[in-house]
Amino acid sequence: MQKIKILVFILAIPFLSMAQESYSFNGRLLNKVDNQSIPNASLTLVFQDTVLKSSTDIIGKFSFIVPSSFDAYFHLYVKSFNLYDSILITPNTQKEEVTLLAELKEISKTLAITEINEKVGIFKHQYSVENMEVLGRDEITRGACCNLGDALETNATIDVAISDAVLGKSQIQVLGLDGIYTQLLADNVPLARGLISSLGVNEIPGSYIESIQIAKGAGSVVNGYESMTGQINLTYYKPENMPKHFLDFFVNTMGRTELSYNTKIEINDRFSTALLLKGSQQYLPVDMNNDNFLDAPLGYSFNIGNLWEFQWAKNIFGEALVSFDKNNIKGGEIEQLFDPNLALFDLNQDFTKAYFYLKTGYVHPEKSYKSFGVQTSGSWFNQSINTPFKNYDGTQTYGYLNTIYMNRIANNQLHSFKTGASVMYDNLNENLNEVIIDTNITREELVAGIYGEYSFHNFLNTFNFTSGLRLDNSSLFGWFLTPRIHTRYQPFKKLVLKASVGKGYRTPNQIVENSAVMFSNRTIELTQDIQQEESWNMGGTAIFTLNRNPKKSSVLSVDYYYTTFQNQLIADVYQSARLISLYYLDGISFSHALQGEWSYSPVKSFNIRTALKWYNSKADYRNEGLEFRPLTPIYRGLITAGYTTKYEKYNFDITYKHIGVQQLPNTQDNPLRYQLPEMAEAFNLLNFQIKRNFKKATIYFGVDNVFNLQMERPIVASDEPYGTYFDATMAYAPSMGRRIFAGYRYTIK
Amino acid sequence: MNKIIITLFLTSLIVLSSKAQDLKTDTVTIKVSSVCEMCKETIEKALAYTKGVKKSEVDYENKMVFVIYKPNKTNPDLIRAAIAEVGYNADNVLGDHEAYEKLPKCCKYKDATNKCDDASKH
Repeated sequence: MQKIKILVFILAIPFLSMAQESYSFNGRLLNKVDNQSIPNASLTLVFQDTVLKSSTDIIGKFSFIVPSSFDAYFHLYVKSFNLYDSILITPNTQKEEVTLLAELKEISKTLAITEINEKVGIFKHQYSVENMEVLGRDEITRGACCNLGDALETNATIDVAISDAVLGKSQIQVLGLDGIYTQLLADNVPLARGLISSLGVNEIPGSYIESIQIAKGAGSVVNGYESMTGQINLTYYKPENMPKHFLDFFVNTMGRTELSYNTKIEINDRFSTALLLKGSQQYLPVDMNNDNFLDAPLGYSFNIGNLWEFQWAKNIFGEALVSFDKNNIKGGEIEQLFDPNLALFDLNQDFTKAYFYLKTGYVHPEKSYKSFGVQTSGSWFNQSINTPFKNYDGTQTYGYLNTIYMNRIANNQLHSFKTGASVMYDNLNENLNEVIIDTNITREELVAGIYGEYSFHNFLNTFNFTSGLRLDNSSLFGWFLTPRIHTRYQPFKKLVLKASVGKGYRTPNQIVENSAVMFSNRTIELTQDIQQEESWNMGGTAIFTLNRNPKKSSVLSVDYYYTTFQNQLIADVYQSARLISLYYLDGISFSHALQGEWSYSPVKSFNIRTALKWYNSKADYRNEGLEFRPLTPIYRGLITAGYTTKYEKYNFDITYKHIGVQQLPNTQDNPLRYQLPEMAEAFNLLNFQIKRNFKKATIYFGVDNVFNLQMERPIVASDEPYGTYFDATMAYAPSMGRRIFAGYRYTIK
Repeated sequence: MNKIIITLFLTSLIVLSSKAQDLKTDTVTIKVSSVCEMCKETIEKALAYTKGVKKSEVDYENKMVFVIYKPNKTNPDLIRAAIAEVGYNADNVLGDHEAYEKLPKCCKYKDATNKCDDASKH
């Protein structure tokens, strides 16, 4: 107690002499656990961008001496938790009781940010040692509807591309590389792995997600070795902070209809549950480019999720999710135009996935930094794709167990560590029947590993350092080491520098990850046995906060990341137009990614974000030598702007994207009419959305692809699908033109 | 297809805007249990989304709200109910208990230890 008093007194002196007037800002720091408020003792609190600092006493009380000129929001930062909250300090908010936004039970969170305000659109995380961006609910609903792929359309870090022109699925790219190299997590547990890693973003409903954290560069070793270019963590809605009822209905002029419904039940003090439902249907056969192929496949999908939050005993918490996803769609020819003897050329995709995770954790009642957690998850998944030429069937069973123990070193709050062991089991089977050849790949892999991660931050939290190491043993590939290092340095309050370097590994899924195998009449050539992909990623970011007042902010950032592969599965579509050749890297494969971003908000109701990206992503191909990766734009630009009227009654959002030139697969062996240029032209996309908020409801209306830009021939040889030239994997630009959408949301809190 | 939807949308806009032109207004002053700037924001926002309310201004020091409304759409009782719904007492209508529990700590006017309103004494 004595010590704290002295501290306050010392700090008060410069203010009393500098400012004419000052006042004390007092409060209590509490942890809300199970509706009980537990005081936090002996914690250091700092107001970001100020020299104001305080410590909490035994009942969590703290006191700041604040100059009376302060009248703004500040980030109150709690160092040992790496948490903060935005608090309005004015002479009128003297006694504020601060409840920590995060709860202790979230111990398995390795991505340091926890809950964020629903109104926060997007922000660069300043305190986390990783280069992290957080997307709030406003940002998730900025795009047109309904799944994770749509939600990721408006941020600068992730690029959304089209996998093929028949099913029109979204596929993400990060740092100039395919999204399969980015680890996808739900509540920090691996989500879409293995056979669904490439198309997984389509099957995750946007209405499940409360916020998204995107970390660029090598991630933490706690979640495994698979994050080669980054991590995307989805925070699903939890009963505690979701509305009682939430309904969203969406329809567009293509005939896409989506209905989502979330509800929660608080069973008792210890158990609460959330039910998350979504259904989607495409019923209108639309062909805007008159190529006799459906622009959007017909069919349905539905998702059911059931999330539980519970408390077994005092200080033992848990979360569980059970989900089921089903999808059955059909794309292809609308009518038989050319040869009445032939059947309709149609493509079916049938997808079934069952998934669960269960997390439990124990937090030491007094020493909240000391905890132990166990994460388990498992899934069963089947996907079949049938075309007149090829039949694909992929099944995967997967199980995962991870333990995390967290503590300080020598009871010093500046040094902490995490350690644990993990086991991962994969059993999968990929079967491809072509006219002549059958390819059958069966894989059973068991990976067991141990890891340790050490973190240090200096007293003022201007320097952070995290270094992690894991050692795994794979039943297929033997022992391998994964080192990762992250640093953060804040030389002065307006500049944050971050750098990271780390290794990553991955077991490729040879057929499903290369859509050209399924959606073209190219023949697959696969001669080598499976090998492990291996890469180094290094890079960093500089974040300049020109102005950090939330009512008037301006943040400029520059990122550069370099990924280099020691081994990679190369899908070679350059050799010939008849062939997709799969082989392991012989030579070099790398990606340089440079990004500049500026987000500016001159007034609270208006914000604009501009980003420019440049990628140099190349690999050695067998005959061609070093070439750009196919269908990966070399540069990209993004401008998004949002405006809200008073009390957020009206909300206007606009997103403009420029997609630069990109190299296309080889079509030189085709007849002239089926040839494409070597490089695809650059193009622009624009969409906007208007929202009108009512007391409980929101009506939204918008236009996607305002310029009505669409590829003339998204499918090569669409008039001869049974011929050898058919190829639906050249879709570098949208195959769907302008779409108008409208929707209705209803929320009961 | 697209043209039809654009036309429908524009027509609906015209209909909505012509309906909004209703000039007759009344005013009412209601005593509210607001204690700080944040309460002011909460109440004003709630009233902005209440049918028939044109404008409202909370004076939290004097615990009063001044409301301009359209008498053909709403009445003072409905306005009081709208304030009570977000957790504040409005004249003799008591604030909704559940909503009160969710208010930020500095707005908890029932808490005797909350000295939010006499901040100027420090």
